[in-house]
Amino acid sequence: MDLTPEAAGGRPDPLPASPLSAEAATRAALARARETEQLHAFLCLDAEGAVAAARRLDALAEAERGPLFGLPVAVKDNIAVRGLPSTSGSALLDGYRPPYDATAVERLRRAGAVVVGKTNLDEFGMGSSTTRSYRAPTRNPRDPERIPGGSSGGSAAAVAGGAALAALGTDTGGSVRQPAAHCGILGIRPTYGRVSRFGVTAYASSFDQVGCMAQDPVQLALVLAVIAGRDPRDATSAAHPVPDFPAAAARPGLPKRIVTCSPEELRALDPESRASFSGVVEALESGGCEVRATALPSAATAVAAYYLLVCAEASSNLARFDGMRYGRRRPGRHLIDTYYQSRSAGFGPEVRRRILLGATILSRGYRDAVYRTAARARREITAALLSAFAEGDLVLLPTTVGPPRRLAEEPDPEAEYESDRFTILAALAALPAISVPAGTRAGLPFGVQLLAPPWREELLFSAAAAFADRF
Amino acid sequence: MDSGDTDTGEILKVCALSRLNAPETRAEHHAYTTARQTLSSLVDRIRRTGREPGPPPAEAPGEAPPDGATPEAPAPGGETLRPDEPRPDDLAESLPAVAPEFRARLLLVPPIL
Repeated sequence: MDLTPEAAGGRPDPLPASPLSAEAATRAALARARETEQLHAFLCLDAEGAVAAARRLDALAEAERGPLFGLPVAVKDNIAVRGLPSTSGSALLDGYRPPYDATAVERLRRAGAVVVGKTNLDEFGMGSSTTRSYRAPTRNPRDPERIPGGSSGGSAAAVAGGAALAALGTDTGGSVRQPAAHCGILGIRPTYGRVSRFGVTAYASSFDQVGCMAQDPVQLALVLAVIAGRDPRDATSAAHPVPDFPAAAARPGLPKRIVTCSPEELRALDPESRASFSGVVEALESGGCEVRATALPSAATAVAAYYLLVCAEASSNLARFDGMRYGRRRPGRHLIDTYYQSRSAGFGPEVRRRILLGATILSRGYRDAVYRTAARARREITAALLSAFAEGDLVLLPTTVGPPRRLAEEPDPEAEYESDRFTILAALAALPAISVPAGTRAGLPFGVQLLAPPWREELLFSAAAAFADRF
Repeated sequence: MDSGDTDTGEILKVCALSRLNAPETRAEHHAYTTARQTLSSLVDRIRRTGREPGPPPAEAPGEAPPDGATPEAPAPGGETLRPDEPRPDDLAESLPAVAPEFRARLLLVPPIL
């Protein structure tokens, strides 16, 4: 059963004759969210707050309406929304309600967007399936027996299922792009520093970025344009100028030269995905692009470097959760025992696993031998990827190694780590990357990824618009 | 002490570092042992990269890249606050202007409705 809006009633009208009121758009999104409740895309819906916000927007004069007037958006549950539960998909944070908005949410609201609810995720963003939430796993709207990808799988399912027109996610190693590909929508990870991380639950701070998802390149560009920019509350956000992303998305265009990985790296794909990827390359070449295979950094090394570094950062970042200031406390015999009991009961198995790996990596004897080697590998990968842009304006890669797995299948964690091999390159090198739908394989969405030089997201939006015209 | 005991000792140590309870069941112990195997596998792989990584590519600080050169990648965590930063209250003023023709595309209603 396909639960996408397309299956129910065709493609959206790209230019409705008379735009709806904010309240009508919000009520429509909320109704759709309830109709598709079985997807478990949302951890909480804020019907009352969203309708009230929409009414306030409708009362504004035309001149006071922001650039995202009335846009119903969903927000991943590791991003703070004032007054709504913010669990990061963890039992440890059950009941926590932040008293403030994340900067990205604050900017969305000021631009006129309406937050309809918080979406499901793998606990603290650690996973690629959205089955590792402390609540029910999210289902893929294209095939509810399959995973939507992750960790921003709830956001992707909300957009693909029609319960939001755009959504915020976070991308540490592919958590926006991979679920976007599995659900057949667009998802962008901007350059590291483009969007403030203030109000985002930290997982691996040197990798985490807020990204966004939508079905339409212009909508996606508008959302990123609104949330981008320097924020004094996040010292890693950059004052780099924000180009006119919507204008770029309205000008479909592919560069003349695109580079891709060697055929050896593509052996990681299942045969149907490999055939689909070859089809995309052929379509680009027939459209006048020169697509050249080049030696990009080895994905096998990248996977190792990535997981060694993120586990180290996770073990440090998650040390703050001890049942004292945030979330659920499990009393122990004394204070230290309370920390142990709260953390052991609150964290799920994969989070405990990554904390233990990270604590080992940062312990004496491992730090120099492992952590610093991984950090050096990261610098090498970054340099190699940047040099690839001398051969082409964009890098083309598959987004996923295969179709979304069935919910009933449970791969071992190491196999799941390997499935991130094509998305972690951009994360290691802090590059912007977008996943765009590129047809289907075996009836399921197929997505490819485009990487651009730092701060050149506008190239990605033009290319995404060109893909939307062709696929 | 055999290798199993060594593993147990190291698991107990890292659990204490992580403020997590030591494994109590066979399944938990197995999960922790598997995690250590994953770590070993990742470490082996990173060591097998085959060459001693050199220093990162150097670029003179503050020097602009030549025309056509790839822009410098941002350094995660590398920026500092400046005294003339806009305050959070000023953020609304920096919202992008949107051309009227894009406005209409904002309210694409889910077609089922």
